[in-house]
Amino acid sequence: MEQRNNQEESLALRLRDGDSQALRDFYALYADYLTGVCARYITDDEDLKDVVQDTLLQIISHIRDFTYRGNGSLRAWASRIAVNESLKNLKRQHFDELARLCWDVASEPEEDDPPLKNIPPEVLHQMIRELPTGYRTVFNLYVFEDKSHQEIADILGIKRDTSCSQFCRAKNMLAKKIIAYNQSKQIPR
Amino acid sequence: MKEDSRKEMQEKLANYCQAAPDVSWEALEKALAANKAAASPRREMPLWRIQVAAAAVILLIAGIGWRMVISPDPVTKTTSRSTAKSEFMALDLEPLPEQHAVVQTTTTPVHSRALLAVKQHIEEQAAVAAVTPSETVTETPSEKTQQQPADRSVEQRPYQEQTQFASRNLHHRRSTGSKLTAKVYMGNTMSGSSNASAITPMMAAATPIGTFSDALSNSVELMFNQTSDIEQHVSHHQPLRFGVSLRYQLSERWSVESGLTYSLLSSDITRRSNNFNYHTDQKLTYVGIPVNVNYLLWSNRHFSVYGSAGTMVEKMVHGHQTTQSYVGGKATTAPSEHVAIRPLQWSFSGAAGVEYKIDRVLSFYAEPGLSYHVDNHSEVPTYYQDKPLGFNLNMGLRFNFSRK
Repeated sequence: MEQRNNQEESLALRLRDGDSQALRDFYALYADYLTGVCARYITDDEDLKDVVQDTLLQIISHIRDFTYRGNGSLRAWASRIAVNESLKNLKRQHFDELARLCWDVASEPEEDDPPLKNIPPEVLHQMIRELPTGYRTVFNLYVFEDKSHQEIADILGIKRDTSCSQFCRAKNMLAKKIIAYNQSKQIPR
Repeated sequence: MKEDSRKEMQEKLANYCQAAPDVSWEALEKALAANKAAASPRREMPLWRIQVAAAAVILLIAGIGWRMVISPDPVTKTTSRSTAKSEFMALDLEPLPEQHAVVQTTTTPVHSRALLAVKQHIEEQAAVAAVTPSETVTETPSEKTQQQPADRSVEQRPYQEQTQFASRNLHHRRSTGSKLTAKVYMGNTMSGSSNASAITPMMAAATPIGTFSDALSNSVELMFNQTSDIEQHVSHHQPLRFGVSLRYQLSERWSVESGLTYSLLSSDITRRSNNFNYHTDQKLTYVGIPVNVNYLLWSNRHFSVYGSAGTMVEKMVHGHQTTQSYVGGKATTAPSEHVAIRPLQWSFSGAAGVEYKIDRVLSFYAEPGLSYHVDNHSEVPTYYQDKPLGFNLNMGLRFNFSRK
């Protein structure tokens, strides 16, 4: 474990020193993962390309600010940058959709969480991507970034209640997709 | 949503990957170059390089001076000149063999068991999270991480490369009956190599979730298996070495020698990961100072057999690498980049030498032996670290001078 720690730390230090090979190692190790993170937020291919590029640029430019805090901290740090870059892009490209969150506040009764066991990751990923931008953003921040509704409200400039209701809608929409998928695979709920 | 469901979903997509889009390497390299420029103070010509150069000059002057004092006759002087000429001819005539001494492929399926840390307390995260609730989404990561101590800025780590040796040697040496001998030899280190991938442990080090908890004790820890294949292919070219050495005869049979060696290494490194691979052509130059003790075992008019043992310290003085990236079939060549290996490389060797004296001045020899390279704790595995004990075959020409 110690060796692994050193290796991850070493990659960051080599990036800091401007080591070209470290850049390629980083890309080889994390580019696909970071693309997966960004793709949860960004559905347009061109936008996704820009966001991944910006994410990598930010990582390289700010690697000096990275503080190694143990196993996996580099990947975690990089994925936070990916989320930030995704949100920046959404704010630029989908301002309208995010703004609409403010008045689209009709709440729905919350449905039970459907079983996820039989859903392959790529299918779940695709289902999330199919959610409308606003719902998806709130949902991702809540589920994958562990944000509270208050935090989401602050990040997106919306009300806390709005975040709650948006999340509820997103969750129900996703639940329907999951249920439909499970039924299509003839898996009992 | 229940907490269990949230965690299940996080877990499900914790390692989700999607093929990365084409990126502009030019822009990335530019950002990287800025990092390098910021780190440049420690890339200035270091003192040791000046010292090595000074030592080389002193040794050469001393050697030539010695030669002139010992052999003041014009015949020897002529020979001395021709010696120098022959040395360089010998070097020029020896092409670097194209075949690869070692070709090794490592496929590393990484079954890493990484810790999945899921945070229970959102409040805790606010301290670490990049997406802070009070700030807008437009802030940069540096702004977000400013609160973290930048303690790493003073740390310096030697950056090392995958190395392999191609080297030649020039030695001054003395045969029985003369005080000083110059020799030219080809070094041919036949040594296997394994190349541990630096990537593997990093894959293992990755936490499988986008968020990071620095308080693992407060986290739910889940073990899972992460599998990824990264293939690394390293081929080492035939190692060669040349150098200049002075040999001093202590007695009829014993002699000591020292000098300078110049070694040139080149290696091809290919790494692959999903749709991405890159090929690096790396060339490293070492300057080394050997110290050897030789013992003459047997000799006649044409042949002599001797044993040799000694140590050598080497320093990488110049290195560069050129990398080509292939993403989705598209090739991009990065500008050539300088590399540095800071720690010294010590080695010990023992060899048996056979010498054929072509005439009074010129002889041909072969020295098979073993070399042991001490681990210099470089972070990136080197050729020497992978295979510390290697077989050596040094062959070459030796020029003998006597006082008559």
